[in-house]
Amino acid sequence: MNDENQEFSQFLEKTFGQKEVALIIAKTAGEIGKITHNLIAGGFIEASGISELFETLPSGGKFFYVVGGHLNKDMYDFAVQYPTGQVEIFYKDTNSSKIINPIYDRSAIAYLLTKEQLASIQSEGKTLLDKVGLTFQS
Amino acid sequence: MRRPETQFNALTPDNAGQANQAKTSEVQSERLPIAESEMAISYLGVELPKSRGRSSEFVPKREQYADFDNDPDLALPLQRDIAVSFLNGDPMLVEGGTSLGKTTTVRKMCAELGYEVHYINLNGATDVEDLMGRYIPNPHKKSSSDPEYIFADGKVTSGLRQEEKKIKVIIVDEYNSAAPNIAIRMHEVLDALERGGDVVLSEDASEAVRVNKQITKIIALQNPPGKGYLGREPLDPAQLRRWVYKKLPSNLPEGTFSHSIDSLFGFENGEVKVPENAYLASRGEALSPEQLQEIPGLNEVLAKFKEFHKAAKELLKNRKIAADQPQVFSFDDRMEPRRVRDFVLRFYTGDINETFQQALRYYYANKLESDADRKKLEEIIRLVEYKAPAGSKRKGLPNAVKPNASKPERKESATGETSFERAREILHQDFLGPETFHKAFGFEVPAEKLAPIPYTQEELDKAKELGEMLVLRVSIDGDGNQMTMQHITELAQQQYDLDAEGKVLYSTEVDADTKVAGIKDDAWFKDEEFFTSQGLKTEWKLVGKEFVAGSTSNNYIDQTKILRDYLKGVGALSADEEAECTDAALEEIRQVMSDDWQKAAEMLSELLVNQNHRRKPVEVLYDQIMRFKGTNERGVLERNYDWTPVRSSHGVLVYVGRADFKGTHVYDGRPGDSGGFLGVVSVR
Repeated sequence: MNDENQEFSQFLEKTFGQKEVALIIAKTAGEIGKITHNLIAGGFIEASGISELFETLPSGGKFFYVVGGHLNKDMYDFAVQYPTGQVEIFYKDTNSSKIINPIYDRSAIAYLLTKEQLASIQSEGKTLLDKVGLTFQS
Repeated sequence: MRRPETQFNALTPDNAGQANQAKTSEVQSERLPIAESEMAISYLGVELPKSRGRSSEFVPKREQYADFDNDPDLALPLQRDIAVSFLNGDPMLVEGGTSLGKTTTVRKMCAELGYEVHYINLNGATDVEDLMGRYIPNPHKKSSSDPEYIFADGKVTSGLRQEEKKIKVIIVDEYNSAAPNIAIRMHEVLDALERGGDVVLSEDASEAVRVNKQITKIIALQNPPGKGYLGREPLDPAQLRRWVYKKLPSNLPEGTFSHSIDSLFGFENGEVKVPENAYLASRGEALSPEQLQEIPGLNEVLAKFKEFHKAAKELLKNRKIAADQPQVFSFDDRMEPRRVRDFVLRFYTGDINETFQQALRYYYANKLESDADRKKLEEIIRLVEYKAPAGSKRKGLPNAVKPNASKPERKESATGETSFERAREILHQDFLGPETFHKAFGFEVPAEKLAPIPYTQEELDKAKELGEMLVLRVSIDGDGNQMTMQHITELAQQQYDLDAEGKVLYSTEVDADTKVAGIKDDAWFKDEEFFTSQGLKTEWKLVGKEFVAGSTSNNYIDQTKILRDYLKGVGALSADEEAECTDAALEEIRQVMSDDWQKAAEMLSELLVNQNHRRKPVEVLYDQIMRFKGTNERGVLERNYDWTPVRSSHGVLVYVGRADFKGTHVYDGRPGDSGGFLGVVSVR
């Protein structure tokens, strides 16, 4: 294991039990695949979106989410509310809410995106950097 | 008696052991900041009923907030102010930096109260239908007679619907990120809540949803526009008027930050120190508007309120206040008076000045971010008062319901409090208030922490005749540290150094590297509890500038007798104090003293007259610093000592004085000692 991998592994260990979503910032889109591989090797499960996260998170676990073109509203709302003790997401298709109460000491959540995506998200007024906890830059 | 020349070798092995005894810390209020009963919870005195229907998934889980930091500077006042808003049914808009925990605070309160939270974040792709509702394909359709589409409530509508036993809170997060059409729809909802009418769902064939502000509370949260928060536009002041706007700092205040760090690392003992004037007291039952007219002095207060409102608007218009706040706001001619009226109905405690001024702080000063702006407004808030004619009593309604939370006894004068301005006029340089405090310790007392002056004008006139000074004492510094002798010395020495005024304590030494004042290792009192732990209360006190006549060259017993007689002569001795300190009782102590001086010292120390009217060592030092900084005089203690009721770890009574350029000295003496340099200063 090289130094960077070791550093990343240590980072992932520390995300467990945190009260905020962790953020992993890749220098380029090309690094996303490698980081995803390392996340899976570290025991993290990829969540494709909010529904999947809501189904699995209530019992705890380690999850990551790869931010697509831009951060969708549900995932932003999730990051904003996660530290507040309760997360409520509104599903437009059914006009109904779902709620989870995070179990911090048995969970880890990480968002993965590129530096460029982060800059774009911040410029939209979504102050993601203010909402997240541990952050790793590749 | 510990003579000056023996002070450096006084710490015996016994003392060292006692010096490590558990220390006591003095809190500023006996009350619990958050008090819970079976039916209700009060937040700094503002009582909210618990919901009877808390078995809903929308109610946050209480265990999530087990480590919530109820810091006294931010979290507790915020909870109090939210509680006022909930109680009055006012929609509240809280603006502050992202790290302050606004959403968490609201959710935590809802978890405690069993209120449902209906949360919506307006940042991003939110539309009106998300808030109010929309038609969706009928998920329950089983036959052709069932409708294809049904209306599904949006987040706001579900929060507005009344359900048995439920109380609901709608959190509208990142409010100033909302699209204009959403803000307009929200205002229609707010107006309906204010009227107590219906919200018409234009999205659903104009269904009318009955709303009730006692059932549904709305709180909006936002980051300040600008200041690094992109996409947040200032709201139109006309929109803002619908909300009770509360401005929080952009970042955690230093004291809160420090408290939070200490708490996280287990260096807080869990005891939260809250100044008494941070508390409100909500009534069990609000007054009726008709009952308002029975409040003595209300007419006079209203006249001054009108002047205040105009003056506050002028300050705002001329950018004398809130000049650097990007969110423009107004003091609305209709909304603020209505809210102030409702506040008085809910919080009138029998003192119209106090209640009215609290309302003005809540609805006017809370909109300001900086302490300097709040102080400016506070100056004119204090002018909104009723001055009762001499001899009359300003009191509450004869049949008024008493507030739920019982306040600890405070010295309440017959005709009420006196404004700072009037007190300064009466006492001139002997008014040692906030300005002197700033000169002495280098920081300002936050306006909300200033205790009102509990003395009448007549009492202050008499104090002037008696040669007394009025001293503002403050319990904690800007970082929340208790004002002990040790800490007072550290703070004041920095100010003394700036003006080359010598040393605060004779035993002070300044570290050459850090420039922080410490105490010499060989100072006998260095580890004494009265030096390290005993603090001040936030209060105003009348303190003699000279010794009580004839009190020098007497032992402690005779001095106590002289003090008692003096207090009785000026009408400051209570019945309990007099009954306990009879000549016979003092003679009994004299007998004890002949066999056991330590027991006698203990008995004397515990007498009410000594506890209440002699100064503790920390008070002597503090008052002396205030006097010197306020008047440039060192006074009677420049050459003499004030004998306190506090015993050192030897059981000996501490005295403090000889406060010259070389610093104040601290010694202790047996009760049978006496000297021409040793007297007693009265405090009342």
